[in-house]
Amino acid sequence: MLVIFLVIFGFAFLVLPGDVHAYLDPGTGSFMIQILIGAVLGSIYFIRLYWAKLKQFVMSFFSKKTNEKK
Amino acid sequence: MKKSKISSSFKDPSGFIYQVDGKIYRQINLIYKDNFDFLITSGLYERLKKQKLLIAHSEVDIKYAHDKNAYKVIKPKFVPFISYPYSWSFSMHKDAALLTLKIQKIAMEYGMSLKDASAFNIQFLDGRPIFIDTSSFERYKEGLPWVAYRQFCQHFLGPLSLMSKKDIRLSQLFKIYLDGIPLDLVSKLLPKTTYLNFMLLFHIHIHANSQSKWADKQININKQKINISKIQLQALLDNLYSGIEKLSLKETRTEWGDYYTFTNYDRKAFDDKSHIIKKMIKAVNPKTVWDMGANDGHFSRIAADYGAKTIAFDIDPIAVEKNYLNIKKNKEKNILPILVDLVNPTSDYGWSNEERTALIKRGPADTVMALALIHHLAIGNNLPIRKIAKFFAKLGKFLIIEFVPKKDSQVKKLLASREDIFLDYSQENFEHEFRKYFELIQKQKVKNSLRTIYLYKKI
Repeated sequence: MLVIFLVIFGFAFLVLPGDVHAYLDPGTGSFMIQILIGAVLGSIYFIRLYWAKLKQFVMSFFSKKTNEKK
Repeated sequence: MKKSKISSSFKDPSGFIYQVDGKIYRQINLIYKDNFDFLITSGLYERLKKQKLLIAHSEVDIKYAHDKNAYKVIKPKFVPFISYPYSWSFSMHKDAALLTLKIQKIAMEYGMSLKDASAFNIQFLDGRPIFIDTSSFERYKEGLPWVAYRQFCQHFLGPLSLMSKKDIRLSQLFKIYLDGIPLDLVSKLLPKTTYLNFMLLFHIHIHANSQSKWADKQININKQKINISKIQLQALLDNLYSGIEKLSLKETRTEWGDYYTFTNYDRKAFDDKSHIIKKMIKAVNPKTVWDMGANDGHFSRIAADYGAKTIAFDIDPIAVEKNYLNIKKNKEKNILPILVDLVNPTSDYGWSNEERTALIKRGPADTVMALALIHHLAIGNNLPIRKIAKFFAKLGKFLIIEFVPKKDSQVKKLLASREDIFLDYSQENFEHEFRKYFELIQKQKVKNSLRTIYLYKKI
């Protein structure tokens, strides 16, 4: 977890808040953490998607085999 | 026309609320014109209104404007009692949080975003939370993070996680930190096991860390481009939503939570008491009732069923929680449960002591009920009866009050471990002191008990 944090957070250092007109102070730290969470959740989504595709691929391979046996 | 600003509404330049001849209006300022028009023309307002998530309003003539900065004037639906987050139960706070996230998610579908996420923007109307700040919406710009995220975490996630994972009473920190509980404090107070919870790890612990890391950094916010895609932001909102949905209260048994189960009342006395209260409520026919010390709202419901807008106050957060869960389950519209310590009622807080109004100033109610309460005030809290009479005279026009004598087993219990120094605690003295502020309308003994219920009218 720490490694992921450092990698993504290290990346986040390069990206800074853009054009903002807000009457509330959004807080720089609170902006940065959103980028981190967005990246983490995005990666999880990607891994899940990839995992599902991989599973699908393996499953289709098995189902083909069963079909062939028939 | 007599126009007066409401002292809580001054932070956002987009608009503010004020009174004209005692009625509430919201001025939409010229500076907010584009965003307001987009809220209406995009269909977002209609959608949120239809789903009863945002307060409905009607547009009124510009002559009602407070000043020359007005673009439009709207008259929002009336909210009879303004409540504050430090007076909500756990599930009330949780539903308010989920409502805020739901609105933000829908707003993004329409190309808008909430520019603040204050818990004070939520009120309870007809048994449900509703968003009341119509000028909180702005155009969403793809790539930008959520401006109100810090405020959301401080106003909602902080108090909720503390109540859920540490102690329900920590919601009271909100009284001190009116812009929500600082996240470094939340992080320090939460048990270390919460580092294993994804939502709390990121939105509280790492968030708090990130805040202190960036606290004194000077950065040029206009030169750089921020990078959080719409899908990533939606994923963040979903993550908060599902995480908050999962937060719950640990099984907690408090002093009063089981009051009715273990009380010495027999059925007959309980039924007779209900019957007497029903009769008295009918005699007064109140529009508003404040039930002080309502527990989970059994007797408040008599007033509510009669059609009175009833506020059920109690000191026990579990009783207030039980009451709210019942309201939700049965879709009751006339009761609002509120957490309050009567010996230290909610005060005036905030800028100039005017932002958040004291409890007493939010009255008076047509009728105040104080059932099985006086012994807790007089004996449990050493309050002289004359002071109690004076206090109730401030709260409402009529008073339904139950006197519980020293021979009653509940009073005996209070006196069991202490010396009886309460020489003025007698029915004679009670009647004598209350006569100074009230006129007696009815007096009735509760069958099968030693108690008496009085109906008083304020002089």
